[in-house]
Amino acid sequence: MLFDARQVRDSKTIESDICIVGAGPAGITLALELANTPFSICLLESGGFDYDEEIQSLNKGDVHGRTYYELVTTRLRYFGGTTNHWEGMCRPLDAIDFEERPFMPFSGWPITLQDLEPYYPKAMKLCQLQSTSFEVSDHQEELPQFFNEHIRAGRTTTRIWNMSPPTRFGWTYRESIVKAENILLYLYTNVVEIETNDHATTATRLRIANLSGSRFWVKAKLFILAAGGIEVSRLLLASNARRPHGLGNDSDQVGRYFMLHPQARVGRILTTEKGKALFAQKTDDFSYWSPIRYGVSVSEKLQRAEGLPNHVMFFQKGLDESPESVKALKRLLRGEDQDIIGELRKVLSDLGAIADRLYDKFFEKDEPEMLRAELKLDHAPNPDSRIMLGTRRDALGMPQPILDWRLEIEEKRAVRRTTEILGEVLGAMEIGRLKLEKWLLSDDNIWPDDIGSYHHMGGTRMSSSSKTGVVNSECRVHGISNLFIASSSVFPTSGFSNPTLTIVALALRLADHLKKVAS
Amino acid sequence: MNFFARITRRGWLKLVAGTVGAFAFSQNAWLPWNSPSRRHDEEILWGHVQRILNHPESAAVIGRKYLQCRTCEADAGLLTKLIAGGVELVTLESDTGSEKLRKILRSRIREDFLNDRVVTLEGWVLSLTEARLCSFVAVKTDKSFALG
Repeated sequence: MLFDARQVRDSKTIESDICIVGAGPAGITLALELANTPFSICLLESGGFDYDEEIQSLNKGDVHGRTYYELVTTRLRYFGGTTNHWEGMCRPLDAIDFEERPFMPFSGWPITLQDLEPYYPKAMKLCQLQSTSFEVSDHQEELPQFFNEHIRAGRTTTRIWNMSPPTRFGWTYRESIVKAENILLYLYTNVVEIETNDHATTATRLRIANLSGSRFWVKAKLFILAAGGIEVSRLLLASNARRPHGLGNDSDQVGRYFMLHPQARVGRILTTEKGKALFAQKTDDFSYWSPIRYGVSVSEKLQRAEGLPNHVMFFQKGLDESPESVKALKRLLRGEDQDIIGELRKVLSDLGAIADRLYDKFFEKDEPEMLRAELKLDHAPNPDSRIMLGTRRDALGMPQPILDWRLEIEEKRAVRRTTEILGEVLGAMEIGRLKLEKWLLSDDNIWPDDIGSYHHMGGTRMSSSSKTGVVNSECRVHGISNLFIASSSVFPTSGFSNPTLTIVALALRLADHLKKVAS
Repeated sequence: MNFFARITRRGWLKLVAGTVGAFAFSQNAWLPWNSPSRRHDEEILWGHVQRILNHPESAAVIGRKYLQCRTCEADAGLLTKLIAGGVELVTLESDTGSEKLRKILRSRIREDFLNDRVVTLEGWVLSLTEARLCSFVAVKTDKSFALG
């Protein structure tokens, strides 16, 4: 049943067994799983069925430290949430992503891949994947030869993504949600505070506001926060009536260990004739209609031996525009330009770029083909990488978030080493030579500006103890008996796989648990 | 008493040996890879390398980068020995020598990559053999390396 919260009279209290905050992939999955059960479900969505600029502006916040996009652009506040601009890349996390790795401080989940594996098939179905296999052997025909062959040396492996159409959860599952008799879907409903009992051990009700001015309450036996990675931390921190530092935050864990998937261009590959042939694509790699995508990683064995985080390298065809110095050199050689001194200055100012081009010429007789290499990284958990509350408030009076996300020099070194190993593999296969990007050559913590992704993870990490995280292995907030989180904010580590499929799998697992708890 | 009056026969012999040694050292001729046969190897290698490389000037650019890091290898004789790596270069003194050398180098480069004998020069991830080959070209073509 569908309700417009702008029509709800002030101070009303809506009651249900289970209240889900947020109708993105996690919230919709939970609602679908709990549809047609004996429980009454209240699903609260901040926006409506379509994008609304004013509601979207509630996502505003500040970014401190490392450069990142405007926060207002990175999440969508309407039914379906961020699946409304999702690209559709699906891949489960790897077993190693769940492990505590000695070389990665704060790594390790309190659950393993085996705990989540039973839920991935259904998650894939909800994400409408054509293929549910992530094994290279099942995709050999679709892959350029390189992605089948490099594996033989044992140093690297191919990673497969299956593409969702992409499923816009809001469109695809709207009817099922609206028609479910036990689901009350409230649009234009913003939770501004979670209230608890005196000891903050039980959540009692949610304080609701919206931009049209209605103020009311939602009571439930169980509450599930299914909002985005930043919003969940923000709401817990802002709910500070009983606990000055916010709910679930007695050990100062809320908002910490915030992760993205840093993705940066790490090199370019000058291919040999053999390389050109091996990279020849059988499918249009980056088209929307391609059913799979693929990349290369250093093998798990080598990751462990070298202390490298999980990652994937993507290859894209295309040579950069020649640097100005090279263009100037060409003009000089052709005698095209009269301003010889000016051109010489350009040439002399960038001898490095010219040396690069000379190497290209030395290496390959014909016009070489260039591939660009981009690395997507398992962002190491870092307590100082965090979401905090700012002093500015949004239109509903909630403190706006501040994002201060961090990357460490060790991660940059790991990116360089990983790229070098992949360069060695390409060399050994006589495919080409890899040149590291300039930013990787300096041993400092300087990264390119545009490396952040839209994948918000962490902030309310899963842990076996309240000292080291915010939710337990069942995604319940430590110390609060009826408050759960279904969001990528519970990820203790990020892996490199796009988070949506795992968000859905975790929501399915939580739904199973809630059915038991609510009974 | 002047210097010559004081010198003994043994002392004279030492002096001669020292002077010759110093001269030889200055010419690097005392080094095993700078014996006449090695010089011959160097010429064989240089002949082939000029035929193999598409653009020796470019190779020299890369080679100079390598030699900035490993100045001790800035010697054509030493580089010849390192590049040959046990292969008797005289066996390549034929019309098909360049092709044979190309095959040897190709295999060695591959082995380098497989066994972590890799250098990163100005960002390029190269095999050690490639880097030395480029350095050899640099040494042979750049007069500033003439004294080793």
